[in-house]
Amino acid sequence: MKMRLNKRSIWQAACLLAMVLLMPLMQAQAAIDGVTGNTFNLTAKADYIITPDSNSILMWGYALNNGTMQYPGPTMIVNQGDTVTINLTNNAAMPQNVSIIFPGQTDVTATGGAIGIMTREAVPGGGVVTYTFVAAEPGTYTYYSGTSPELQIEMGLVGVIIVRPAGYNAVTNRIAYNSADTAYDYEYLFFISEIDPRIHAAVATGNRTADNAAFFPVYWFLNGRAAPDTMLDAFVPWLPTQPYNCMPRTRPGDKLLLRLVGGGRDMHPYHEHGNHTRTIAKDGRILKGPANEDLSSLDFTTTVIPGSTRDALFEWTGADIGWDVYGAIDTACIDTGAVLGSIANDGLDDNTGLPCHDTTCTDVSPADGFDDATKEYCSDHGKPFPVTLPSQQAIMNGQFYSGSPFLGTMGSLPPGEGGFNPNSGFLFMWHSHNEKEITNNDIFPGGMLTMMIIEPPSVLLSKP
Amino acid sequence: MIKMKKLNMMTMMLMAFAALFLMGAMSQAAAVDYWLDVQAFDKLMPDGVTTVQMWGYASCSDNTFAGCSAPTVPGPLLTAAAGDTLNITVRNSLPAAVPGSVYSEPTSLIINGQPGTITPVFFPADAQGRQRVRSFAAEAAAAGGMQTYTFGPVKAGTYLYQSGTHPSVQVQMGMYGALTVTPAVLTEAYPGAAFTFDKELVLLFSEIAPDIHAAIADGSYGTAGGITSTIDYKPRYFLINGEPFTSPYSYLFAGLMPDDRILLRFLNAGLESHVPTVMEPYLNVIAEDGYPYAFSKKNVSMLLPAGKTMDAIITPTKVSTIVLFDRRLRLTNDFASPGGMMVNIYIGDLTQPVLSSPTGTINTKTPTYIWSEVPGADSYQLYVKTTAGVPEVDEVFSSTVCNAGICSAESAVLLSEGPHMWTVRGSNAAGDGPWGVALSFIVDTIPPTPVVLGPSGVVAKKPKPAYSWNSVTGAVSYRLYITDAAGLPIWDVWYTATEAGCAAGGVCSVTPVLKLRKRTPYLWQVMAKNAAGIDGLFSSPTLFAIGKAGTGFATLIAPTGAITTATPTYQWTGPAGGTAYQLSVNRVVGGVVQKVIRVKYTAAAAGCAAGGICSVTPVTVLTDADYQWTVVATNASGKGPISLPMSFTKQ
Repeated sequence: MKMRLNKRSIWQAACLLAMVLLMPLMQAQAAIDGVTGNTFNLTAKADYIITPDSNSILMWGYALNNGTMQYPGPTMIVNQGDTVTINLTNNAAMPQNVSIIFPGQTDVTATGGAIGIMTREAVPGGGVVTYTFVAAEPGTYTYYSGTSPELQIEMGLVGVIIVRPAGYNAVTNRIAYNSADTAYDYEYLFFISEIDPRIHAAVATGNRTADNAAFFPVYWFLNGRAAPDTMLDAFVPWLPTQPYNCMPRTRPGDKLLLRLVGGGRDMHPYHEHGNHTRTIAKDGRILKGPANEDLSSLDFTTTVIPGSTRDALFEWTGADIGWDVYGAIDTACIDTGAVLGSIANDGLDDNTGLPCHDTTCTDVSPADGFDDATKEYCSDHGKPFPVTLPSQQAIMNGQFYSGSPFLGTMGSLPPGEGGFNPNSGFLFMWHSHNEKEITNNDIFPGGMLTMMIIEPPSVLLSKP
Repeated sequence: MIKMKKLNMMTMMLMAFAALFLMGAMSQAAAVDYWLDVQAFDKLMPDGVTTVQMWGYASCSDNTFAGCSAPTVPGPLLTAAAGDTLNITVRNSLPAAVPGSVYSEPTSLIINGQPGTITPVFFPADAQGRQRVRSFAAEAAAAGGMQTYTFGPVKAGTYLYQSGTHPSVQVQMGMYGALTVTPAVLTEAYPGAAFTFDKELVLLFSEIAPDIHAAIADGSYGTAGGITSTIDYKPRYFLINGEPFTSPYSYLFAGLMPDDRILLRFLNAGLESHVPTVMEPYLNVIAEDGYPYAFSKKNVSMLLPAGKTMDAIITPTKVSTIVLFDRRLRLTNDFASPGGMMVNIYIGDLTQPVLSSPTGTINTKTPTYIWSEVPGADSYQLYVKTTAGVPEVDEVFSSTVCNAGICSAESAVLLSEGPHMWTVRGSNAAGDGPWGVALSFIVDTIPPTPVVLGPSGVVAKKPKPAYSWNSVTGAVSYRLYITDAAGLPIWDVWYTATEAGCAAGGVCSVTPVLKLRKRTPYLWQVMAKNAAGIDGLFSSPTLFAIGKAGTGFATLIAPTGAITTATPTYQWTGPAGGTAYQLSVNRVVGGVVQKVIRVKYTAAAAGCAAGGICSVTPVTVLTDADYQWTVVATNASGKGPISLPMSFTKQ
């Protein structure tokens, strides 16, 4: 059989090839913002964070390599079996001893500094203490000050440690634990915390007591930022002490790993929309029984216990929604691999290379009820949208609305609308369900809130 | 023997069955009786000053309530075996209601999770016939009422017993305690090999909101304007087993050893949820509310909700101190840190050394540290820090420093001056022992400042007076320092203690060959030097003059410093009975003194005939220059000495 190559299909094939080649490179970048290695030099120092209501709050935090203080502290990413060394220096301007304790790590040794109640402490004026342990077990862990924790954790001396399992490979084997069922495509950190700015103001005036009876937080954070700053890029220069963002994105059928960390002293009912999450581990220990019994649980509110960590997997396909999330079937769409260089059932038109929704929901391998390529829920293929959309004038458009209820489809919008959703994804609010916690000092919206985006299958997501 | 041999197998089996049946019947039929007397008492808070009224259960020996221990919070630990019938008789000895002073009410007792007949008591119906529950169970009436509560057959596990009446008040006031029920196999927490344990600890969490307790004690609780509920709950003390953390050197010793399976029975009688946390080993949570899990859960931080019980097993692998604390950070006693819900659990068999010296004030920078030997320790870690937290000594000594039960070591490190704390712990290959209760001491190698005796004021002596002061501890010599009114030294000599006649203590006295001018002010002071050659501080300067007995100094007040007026008002106070004053004002130009004013005033003219401040304003106009002025006071005894001068600048 003779095939005719046209210019377009050559170009298309080249593009696809480039994408296939590029994909591993994109996957290879760090999954969660943090610092890798096995020796970390941290300095405890004071600086200010900024909240979206323009408040500026004194914090104490851990800075990497004596750089800028950050809240939370640097996320240290190590490999299972590594001997981890952390040198903690107490900056000259700090008024108290500081330390680090490592919940979930065993046989931590501490040398130097002063003896404290929980561990050895670095004394003010440049004192140094060195902590060493072997990261024996994979998982999500936290670290925080063991010196006057009621004040110093509140002030920001807290952070996250991620231990990659021995079998982990950033390209070929993205797993949370040494178990195939903990595999994921993208991972995001949800370091959950709150502060009472009055304590910070008192510390600024030299009154270093945390009044437990009067504790009344008014700021709530994800990775050290309150909404809407959670949705900004990581490392934006105008938030120098809050480098980490929290903007989860995934695609239908892809697995998103949530690493949830209780960084404060309160519990927050962190609520995921879109689908349940499956909690697979707590405090760095996979939820399996002695004979590998599955002890994971499905939740749509993952309340993290203070000082605790929780790993959960999230997947969205639109299953059972009752209508075709990709909209009307495009009978002109050919996705059979008929054109040379095109791929059958890749969700892209063989001729144009553009996303399209063909007549067939191809559920061959694996035969799981979902389209092999797009993860479309086949039972709903072609089912009409059950709602008559109101006219444009009858609705208030948000910046996240694509103008269409269908994934990957942009409808007509008034000028200037839809700007926050260039791929026409579905956006779900992930937030504290204690609704007062989605404010910044009484101003809504804000606080412990971000948007999780389901991007259409055709969008290439770097990992994350 | 022969007869026994004749017993056939069947008989033996029957006997065994009978024995088993009997044992079973005995354990199931057992009735366990407890008598609890509810009493009010005052509990001292960790600051050592504040007291808070508590209501607690006292354990009594029988239903006469004659032999009762003191009430405690939490109440006595109640124990029973699964299947027992538990009878708890409560007597209500809460203070009688005195209007406006003490709150009083009936009480009752409940145990959530244990079977029992519960007969609630209701408030009288309102106009619509609605009734609210007053007590979850039958009441022990106020002022001495008694009631017996029966539970059974009781289930294995950890349970909270508490007041069932007005719980927001009575539970908050302290009416709670732990009940542990053992299953048939005593080494199991719950039936099943998975729940086997070697040792157990009961850890009961609760809080005190002192404003509620104060309102109860003074009768203002529930009144208009007073506290009416726990809606604005402000706990300030956070307790484990009734006590907050007060010292890093206090430990929970329960004979726990490495590799023991230690059952931790957590109970929360407070109104807040808490999060017990240990760094290692993992808390293996096996049950909640008396119901065992099918699979245990590993936790670093576990949620202990209000009103709940949770059981966890930990298996520490080494000799160590496990710091268990509330990760909700209730780690304060009122405002003080460290405190609150924290406890040092010691794993191992090393004991706490008892420290004996140094303590108090010491005058060496290298003291000898003495403590009691720790059996089994092969080394000791000595730790000395300033009370500000700066570590100064952190040294390990071998156990050869110990002899006949007493250990004694010295560090070459020179300590700083000032307050310190020291502690020591024994260690061996298995791990570290607990720290001894720290001792405070003050390094004060500077000799004390002597207290001068005389001369002081106007002394009617020959122009070579004797100077005397009280000797100070550790002084080997003294420096006598005499200056004139301008502060220039005219005598500066060191005397040995022997020369001063006070080598054995007592009063030191020297008479220098220094001839002083009469009616002229002088100042003198003295300092001590110790054997280490360290100087102390000078005593403050003492003013004196040789003159007529009974006369005295005028004390100048103003003018001083920079002034702008050319005719300033001069103010001073006179000696007792001052009748006349001579004011002298001299201009000082390039070190040359020129007399400007010399005027005599009667006390009446100076406005101080009856004492108080003398005040005069001479008409002489002062030009811009530096001035110095003095006053000589006359009284019934005669003309006194010249006052200490005062300087000012006219600008």
